[in-house]
Amino acid sequence: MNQALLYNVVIPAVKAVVAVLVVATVAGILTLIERRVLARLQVRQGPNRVGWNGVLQWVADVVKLIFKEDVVPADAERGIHFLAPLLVMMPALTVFAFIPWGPETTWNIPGLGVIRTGLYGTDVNVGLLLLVAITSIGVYGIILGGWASNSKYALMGGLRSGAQLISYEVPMGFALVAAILMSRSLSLVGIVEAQRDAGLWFIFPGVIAFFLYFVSGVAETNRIPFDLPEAESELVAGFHTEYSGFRWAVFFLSEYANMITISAVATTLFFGGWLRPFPNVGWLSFLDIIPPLVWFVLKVSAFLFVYIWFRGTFPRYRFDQLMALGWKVLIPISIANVVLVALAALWGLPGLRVLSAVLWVALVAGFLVVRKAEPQRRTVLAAGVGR
Amino acid sequence: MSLLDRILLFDIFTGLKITGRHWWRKKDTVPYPEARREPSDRFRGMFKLDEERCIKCTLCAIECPINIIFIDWHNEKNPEGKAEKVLDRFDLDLKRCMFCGLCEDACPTNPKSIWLKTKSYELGAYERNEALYLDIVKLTQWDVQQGITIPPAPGEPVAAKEEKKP
Repeated sequence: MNQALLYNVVIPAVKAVVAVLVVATVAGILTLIERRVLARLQVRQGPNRVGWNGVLQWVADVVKLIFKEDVVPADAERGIHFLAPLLVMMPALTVFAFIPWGPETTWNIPGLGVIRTGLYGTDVNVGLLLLVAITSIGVYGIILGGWASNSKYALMGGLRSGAQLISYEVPMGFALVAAILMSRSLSLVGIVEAQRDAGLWFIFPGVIAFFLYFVSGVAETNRIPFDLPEAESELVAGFHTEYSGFRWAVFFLSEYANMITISAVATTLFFGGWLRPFPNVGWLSFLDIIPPLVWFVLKVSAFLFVYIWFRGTFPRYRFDQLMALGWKVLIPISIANVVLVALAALWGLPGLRVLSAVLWVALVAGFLVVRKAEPQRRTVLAAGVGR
Repeated sequence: MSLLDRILLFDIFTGLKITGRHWWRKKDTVPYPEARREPSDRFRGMFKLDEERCIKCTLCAIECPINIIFIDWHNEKNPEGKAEKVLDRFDLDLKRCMFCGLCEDACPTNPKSIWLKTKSYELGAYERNEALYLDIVKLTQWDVQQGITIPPAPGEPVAAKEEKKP
């Protein structure tokens, strides 16, 4: 086959199809995993009827949603009502065009010969910028969906979502800036390679940035404890109150696809993407037996688990608390963190090492101090566990 | 809460620890049709009537607060020439029953001839007027068809019974 055609058309097309299918399917399966994990955290069974131990429950759910009646409310803006779920879904899937799942790999495919290509759609040199640009389109879908539904609950949900996402975009952006400063690259592949060259994951010097990114990420994906746009007890279902059938399913799946996005980006920026732990330590090289793709998937799965764990643990924030947290806490911390990381990055790699050491020693010391300081309150808190 | 506490999000981690501990706990629920959980000894479920023991005194019907036990009887001569009460009807309208257990308390026989502590809770039905209106055949024989063993009727010690009498 023509090499130019192969590398410019066929391989990207195959990658795109695989990425979309995998992410959409995983988003579906994640709904089942979430229900099972939540059930486990709440000491009950969870769905266990369809298929072996309920593994086909998500298929049943999707089939049910596809064949459900699609109700459009009277006086709704039909066009925008139709468009809104797509506006949420498309960015969630598009970002997987340049999230790296693994390094450049050689494939020996019979009939085509040796193909050398990366386990990512493409390596965009301003990947992080593009990522932020694309993911923030999703908020339009939520606001427009809420507005076009001709429902007050949906409108309130959409407005909340707009306020929340714009507020949390700022600390998230600053957290990304910290990662960029450490890696001196905007390309997601470049960031992973910088972590390999530096020999340390950016979670060590960037623990504050990671925390900011993850908290903002939970807020960006409208997940508990920040699921204000769809707060059941206040707004019925928020922006998708008036959606049913497959359009609702698209909203639902895109929430999970966004979770995967946030987890994948957090992995790429702070947990070394496809790298094994401590990529430069020689005696750990036996870990290389696990392929890079598996490392990446493992890390992303861990983040998704934490998402679900959060949902099983925390109650919902009040809206003013949410805004106060965003503007009064996260944004000042994120700016201070950017200054801190910038100073360290100015010094270069030794600076990053010193910063990691200082931060982690401070963290561990702080934990020990707090544990020692108030043992009584600790036991009171932990006494609620029972059994 | 100290400042250090707030910076290190100690309470958040405490919360996560508590739910995380639940992950390892044995599940409180069971996958129902495959696994069943035995109710406690005092659980009040389906009724069981022992026609042999019943003396047709109708105390259970009298005691029932919503009058859902219907008993008709007539006298017959038994082979020894003595008069004996024979049940015409012993119906129980289970769909209205609130499982208070007063009928069981009222029953004077020992052991009880009507009791609820059969530990069977599978009372679901598609047609409540027929399935949940128990005549004497259903009351005495529902357990035979399902092939389950039910615990014996609760009885009080005879001595305690005699002390109560004036």
